[in-house]
Amino acid sequence: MLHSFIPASIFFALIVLAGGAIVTVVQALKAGARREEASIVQEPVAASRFTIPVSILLPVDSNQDALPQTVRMLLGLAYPEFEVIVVAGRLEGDVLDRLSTEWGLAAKEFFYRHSIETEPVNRIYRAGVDSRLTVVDKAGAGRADALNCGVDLARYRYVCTIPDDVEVETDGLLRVMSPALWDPAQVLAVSSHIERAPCGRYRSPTADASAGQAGAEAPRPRLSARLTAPYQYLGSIRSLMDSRLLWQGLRGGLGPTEHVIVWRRDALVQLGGFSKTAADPSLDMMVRLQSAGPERMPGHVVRSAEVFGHAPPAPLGEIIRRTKERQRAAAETIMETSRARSSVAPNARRQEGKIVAYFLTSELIAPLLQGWAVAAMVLGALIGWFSWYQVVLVLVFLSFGNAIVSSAALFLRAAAPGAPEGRDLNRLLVTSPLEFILYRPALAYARVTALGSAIARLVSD
Amino acid sequence: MSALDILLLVGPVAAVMAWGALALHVIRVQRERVEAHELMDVVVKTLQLDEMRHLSIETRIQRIKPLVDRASRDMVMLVAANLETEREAFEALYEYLLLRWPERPVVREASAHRTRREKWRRTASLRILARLQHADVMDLLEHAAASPDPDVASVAFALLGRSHDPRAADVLIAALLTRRHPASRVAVHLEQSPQPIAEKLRPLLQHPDPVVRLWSATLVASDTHTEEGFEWDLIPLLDDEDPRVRKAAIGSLGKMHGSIAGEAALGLLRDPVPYVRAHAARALAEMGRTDMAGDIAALLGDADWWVRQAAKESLHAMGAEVWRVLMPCLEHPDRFVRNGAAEVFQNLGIVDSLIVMEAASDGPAERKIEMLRQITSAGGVRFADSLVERAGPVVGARIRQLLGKIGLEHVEAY
Repeated sequence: MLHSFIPASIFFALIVLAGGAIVTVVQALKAGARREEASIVQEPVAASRFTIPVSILLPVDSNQDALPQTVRMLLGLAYPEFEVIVVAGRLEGDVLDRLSTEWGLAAKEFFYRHSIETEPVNRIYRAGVDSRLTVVDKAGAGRADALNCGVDLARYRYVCTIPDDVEVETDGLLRVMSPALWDPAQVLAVSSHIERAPCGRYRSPTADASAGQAGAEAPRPRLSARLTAPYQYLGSIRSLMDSRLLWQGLRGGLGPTEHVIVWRRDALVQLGGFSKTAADPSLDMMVRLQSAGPERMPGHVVRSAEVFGHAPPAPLGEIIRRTKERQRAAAETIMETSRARSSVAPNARRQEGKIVAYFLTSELIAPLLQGWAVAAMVLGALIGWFSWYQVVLVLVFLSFGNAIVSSAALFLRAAAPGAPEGRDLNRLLVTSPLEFILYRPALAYARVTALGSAIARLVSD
Repeated sequence: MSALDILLLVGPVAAVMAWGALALHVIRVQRERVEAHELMDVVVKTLQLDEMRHLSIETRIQRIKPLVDRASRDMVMLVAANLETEREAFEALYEYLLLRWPERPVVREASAHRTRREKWRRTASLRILARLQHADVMDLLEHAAASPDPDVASVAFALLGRSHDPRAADVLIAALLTRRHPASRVAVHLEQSPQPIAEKLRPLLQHPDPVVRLWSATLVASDTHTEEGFEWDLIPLLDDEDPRVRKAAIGSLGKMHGSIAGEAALGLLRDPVPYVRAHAARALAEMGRTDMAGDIAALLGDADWWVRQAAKESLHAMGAEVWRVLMPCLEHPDRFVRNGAAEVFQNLGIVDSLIVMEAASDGPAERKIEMLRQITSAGGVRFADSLVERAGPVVGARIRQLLGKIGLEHVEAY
């Protein structure tokens, strides 16, 4: 029985993966890599007083070195009206000094509505140089609490949550807000991408911060970050392709792994703010927004294929940690949707089912099938059902199958500005087949351990 | 031989070949794109040479023909549609398009689309024809503005918003009336139109659709050509049944800084809808009506947070003159009023510049100490701490001491 099941399951997995790759390539070639020139439409919007103002929330916990540079970049965004609220879990002394020197920060009390309960705020600083900047020093209680504090303080209808150490594109906010500007009554949230670009293609705020100090040299990314940089970049580019091919036809969506999201503030408040226990508070909120049902939460979530900014390659340990978190979040998503299903109207349930199916296909099923094909093949070879030569053939098949999808993603990436060109592109194409063997095992390990702990938790519950 | 064996024989070879073919295709497409851009750069630079400018279009086209013949039609359209391309180059490229592809007139491509690629060509053609001020462009833009496709409509709105043709504003106003696309998107372009639009909007202030009334009321204030007299048209809208219209009307009146609007706005401070009250407060601040600061200060205790916020910001915008109005608010029985007044005092700089410096001097005046006590009591602990922090280590310590003396070292907002 097992003797026939294992080869059949491997065959099935390989066929499904090959089918998926073929569909992706055909879709990518059909979509094309034509570069659209949108400035004619964006310029009037960028200068209009009718453009909906946005509160940008920047929660900061560790990594405060880059904060002054990040704030500078955010305040340089091309958008008619916005404010930047930095929410720091205990501001480090010299960071506050640097911000104060540059922006003329002064402690100023601000009485605001505590729509969402958060840990206490120690001090609120307003910038004398630029009234759009507010810095909040509060008790550190995680990212979700910082975000909720920012939502409480936000003055505008939309809030944009942004991670630190991101180099933003000047027109990023305008592009991300585009669906909301077109239909503010119906758009609950819009997600956009952060691209993890290799060194040389990206100027990190951390590097700028260090370079600005006398005698200091810009820190070099860790070895593991440098070695895996092309694969992190390819991961970002594939995620962008998913948004364009998979998600754009759907009235709804769940954000990519590395994201900047704009949310409608009233919807966040209505749902009680970001969950402090969720592995990924943003993903959790997106699920809750869409499972609340159209009566309670009329509108939809948009997963846009826009790049909001860039980040440097992360060390391998960080990537593993994030993959685990995302996997845990994916497991929570499934649990949350199955819990909420009974209270949702049939129409919304169908829509929600579609969103979860899309999400599972791109985030879970493909890696699981790949993992299973390799593991079952190795197991079969150990037992003596397959030769090691066949194991190698499976690895070659999967590596190049993965490289085909990456090549399709690179083809599509050319449609947006800042795409890799020349040598960068050639290097990415040539090294893409090695990703499956050199980089994916680390991600597979993270996924397996995260899934294991999620299942263990489910059993214990 | 099992199915898996066959798959393992064929699959890897097919995967390697497919990857190779796709990778080569990606590199080829990218290389062609770079080459095409470089080629068109040379073409544009050649057309912009001084010795080319005085030549006839036919001669210019003859000169660039060997180069531009290597470019695709889409590439020529892309460069011609780019607003940064100089006029001489643009005209030559447009003529070249007509000469080389007579079977595909730009006007036809600007009129309809089916596929994604055709959509791009349509919007590019519209841009080219708008720049050319082609005789048919207004009809084409009108047709595009009515298109259900938001991308095509957006480009049409943007081109109409830039146009100096008087009909452009009419087409945009028609789009506002039909509301096939969000009125706010049309309004963005009407607002920036170089055309005088206010007179055209005047009759729409009585339009049965409240969305049309609200945008007409909003837009009349942004027209730089607006002459006196619109105030009287807007005043009736302050009693409109739709609160969005009331909000828009008071917002516009605030921007016009007219003399009659202040009294009218006063009534809206008691409007049942919070955002109307908030906008009325902001409008009065914009008009600089400090004589009405007391009415705005009453909103510091409004049931709605956004109204309280608007009241604080409006009082702040009115400047230090409002301090007399705010003083009684510090002892108000409503906590929100006290907090709000203290915050306005703080933001106006009165606390820092006047009271603190005085209080920290060797012989502080009793009246100033009393003011400090009132403000810090109304503001609470964090307010007082912020005050001490702002004053710096030396003066801050003296203020802390002084606060201690008047029994406010652990002040709570009561």
